[in-house]
Formats: sequence, C-alpha cells, structure tokens
Amino acid sequence: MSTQTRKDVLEEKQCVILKGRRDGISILLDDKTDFSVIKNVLRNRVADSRSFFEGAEASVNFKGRKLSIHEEETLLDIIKVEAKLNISVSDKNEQKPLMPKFNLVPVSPPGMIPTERDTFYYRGAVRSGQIIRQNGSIVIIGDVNPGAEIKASGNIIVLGSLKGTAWAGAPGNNSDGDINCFVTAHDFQPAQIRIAQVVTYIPEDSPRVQRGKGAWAYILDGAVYIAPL
Amino acid sequence: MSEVLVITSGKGGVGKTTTTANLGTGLAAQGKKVALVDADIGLRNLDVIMGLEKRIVYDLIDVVEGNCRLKQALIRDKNFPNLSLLPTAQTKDKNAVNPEQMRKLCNQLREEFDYVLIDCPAGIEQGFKNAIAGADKAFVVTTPEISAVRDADRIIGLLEASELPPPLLILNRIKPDMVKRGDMMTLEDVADILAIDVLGIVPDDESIIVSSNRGEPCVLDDKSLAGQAFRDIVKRILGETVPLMDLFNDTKFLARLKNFFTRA
Repeated sequence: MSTQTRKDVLEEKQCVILKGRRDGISILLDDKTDFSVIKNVLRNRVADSRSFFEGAEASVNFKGRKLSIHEEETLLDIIKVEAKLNISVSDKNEQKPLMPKFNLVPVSPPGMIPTERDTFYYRGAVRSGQIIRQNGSIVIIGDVNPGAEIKASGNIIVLGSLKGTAWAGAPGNNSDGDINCFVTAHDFQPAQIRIAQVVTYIPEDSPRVQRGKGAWAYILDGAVYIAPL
Repeated sequence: MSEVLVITSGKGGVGKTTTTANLGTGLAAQGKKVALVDADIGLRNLDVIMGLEKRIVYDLIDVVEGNCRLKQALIRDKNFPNLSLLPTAQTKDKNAVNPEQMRKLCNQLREEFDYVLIDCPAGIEQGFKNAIAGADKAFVVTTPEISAVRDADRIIGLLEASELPPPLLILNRIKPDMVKRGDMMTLEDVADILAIDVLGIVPDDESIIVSSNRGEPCVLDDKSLAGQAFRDIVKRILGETVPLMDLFNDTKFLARLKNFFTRA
C-alpha cells in the first residue's frame, strides 16, 4: 500500500496551494486531506518556494478548511521555520480602504497601559441603539448587546459580553485618536472594533474569537490584534 | 432609466425587510446594479438580514449630514459586487432626516444604480414620509390578516395622496392549507378590499427564517418555495410576464417536488 502512484503525488500537491496577493499570501488548503499530510506538503512547499515569501508583506491567511487554533499555529510555525519569517495571520477582508488588515497572532501586546484618564463606570446592560460616550475610559459592568455602541477616548473594559461595537481611543475635539488604547471583555464577540482611526471586524469563522472567551484588542503597527486573555 | 422603489406596509412584521432583501438580491442576480436603502432609522434590520451588520462604518445619517461621502457608506454584498447596502443608524431616530434630504439622496443613488430599493419603517409618521419621498413607485406588502390588510389600505390611501402612481401589492405569508379550509383570506378577498394590481404572492415558508438568520436571502435557494415566489416577482419587475404561483393545485406542487428529486 505504500507505493505512491504519480496521481497520488499530483493530488497531494493540489492539497496546498500558495497564492501571492498584494497584501499578503493566501494558502488554500484541501478540506478532505488528512492534516498530517497537509503539514508535510506545506513544509515542502514553503521550503521549495522560499523566494515566494521573500519581500511579501508577512501576512498569511488560510482558506478552504476550518482550522482549530492549534492547527493554525502548527502551520504558522512551519512557515516561520521554513521561510525564516516572522508572520502574522490576516483574515479575509474585502473592504480594503476602511477595513485594514485584521491580525490574529498575538505578537507581544503593549505592556504599558495609559492610566492618566478619568474612568467612567456603567452598571447594567447597554441595549441596541444606546450609545455610551465618554471622554476617558469606560468600564461596563454588564453586557453590551448587538447594535449598542461604546465610544471612549480612552480604554474600554466590559465585565460581561461585548456583542456591539466598541470604539476605544476615539478621536475627539483636538485629537486624531489614541492608538495606545485597548478594548477588552470577558466574553469577547464584538460586531466591530475600532481603535483610534482603525476599524476592523472579526469574521464569523475565526477560531480565536469564541463565545464565552475573554480577549482583548489593541493596535500594533497600524493593525488591530486580538489576543486571548 | 433607473427606478427608485419603496417597499412599505403600514403594519410591522409583515415582511417588508425580507421582501426588500430578496427582491434586491434577486435583481442583482439578474445582473442589475442595485442599492438597498434601510430607511428604518433606529430599528435597523436590513443589514442583519443581508449578513452585513459587522461591516457598517458610516450610515445614511452620516451621508445626509455630510460626515462622509455616499460611496464610503455603501457596503458591498458578499455574493454580488453589483449589490450594495446603505445601512441606517441604530442610535438615532426618524426625525434625524427630512423628506427633502431623502429625495436628494435617492437622486444621488439613481445616477449610480439601476434599481434603488427602500425598506420603509412601519407606521405612517415621519419615517414613512421620509421613505416615500424620493420613490418613483411603491410596493405594498401585506399578509392575509384583517389587521394587516386594514393598515395596507390606510397606506395605499396615503400613497395616493402623495404624488406616487398606484402601488402594487405583494401578498406575503399565504398558508395554502388554511386558505383551502376557509380559515384564511384568499388573494381575491385581499385584492377585493385593496383594489390595486397584484405584483406577486409569497407562500409562508420556514426557509425564510433559516435564511434570515444566516444572512443569506432565500431568493438564491433553488429549493425554497418562497425563493421561487421572489424570483417570479423579480422577473415581473424586469417586465416579464410570469403567471402567479399556483399554491393550490396539488398536482403541480407534486410535479415540482418530483422535479426536485429527479434533479438531485
């Protein structure tokens, strides 16, 4: 059973397809092939085409197959090792001008958290159509429902589930917004995250944003990163 | 030769938003350039039905108030690049816009799109007046219930009083079994009371709820009966003559079913 026919080899090659795009690299993975096979094929392909990765902005997204966080990390590690690159993941984003790249791999989150701000506390659910706007940071002790909006010139902390839109470091009268601000929630499933002038949304099938899991969002190199708490 | 159509009803919950989403998607599937406009300020839904909620950055109010350009607020559909949605604001109310601003907005959209479909809010107040202000034609959606028909009648009166041509009727959520038993108003009963031309009838169909929850209009679902009804209406909008769907002739229905199975 171990003899590989030419056809098998061909099919194996087809299970990982690399595509260069202006804003990064797409990797199409076959849905039916065993993950261990995918791993090996990817390793060989990346090693063979190191030049392909060179010069490309190091952003990768996987398509065609649902990956667990663990699987995604395994594949990224392979690419990092074989291509000698430090890579971040981007999810598909059709709306280029307004929606900058959305990255998922937590590089080191900023350790310094701006503190010289007033903090505003709100207790209760923020419902659809309600806006909480504050010059300073906002702590919500409760849930933020879909269609609700939290807008702060500082940070946003939700001690509950965040399903609406959160805008941290929002531009005000004399500022363009503060990119050092962050958004965090115990149950992090926002419709949209904005930090300063950067707008992003999280695709439905992203394995990193899960119901009931805490996470936080911050900006690094102009892109929004989401990291688990 | 672009057209601005408003989908209205008077009563809430009869299927305006679902109809708007399906007709818009259906027209786009036929290759037309289509813009969907959510005029239900403060209670927006069209973005959810279209599965585009997460991408909203600017909305109708921002456009009207000049905070952004129209192009920035339009969200492109997931399936059709020729279909766009202009979402509305959730945090404002109907009084944030006036009819004159809506007229201007519609004329702006008209330059860019073949069809502009406006999802009207329930009621007869400011929101309704805004929604119909820029429209060329109105479609009235109703269900075969006495209260919905009563409200539709009121709306038709108001539409006639404005300068719009006579509206067309879409009778939604028909349950053929109940009609047969005599427990539900028939199309004839409804058309009798409202005395306007019928654009289409749509059967009650569970697939509508499934597709709404998924954010994918059922007009794209070949197996959905309601989807077929919306496809027929789309053809009529485009000027084709399509007979009304026969919901009561069992042999035809069985033939349809058989068709599905042989195709599968």
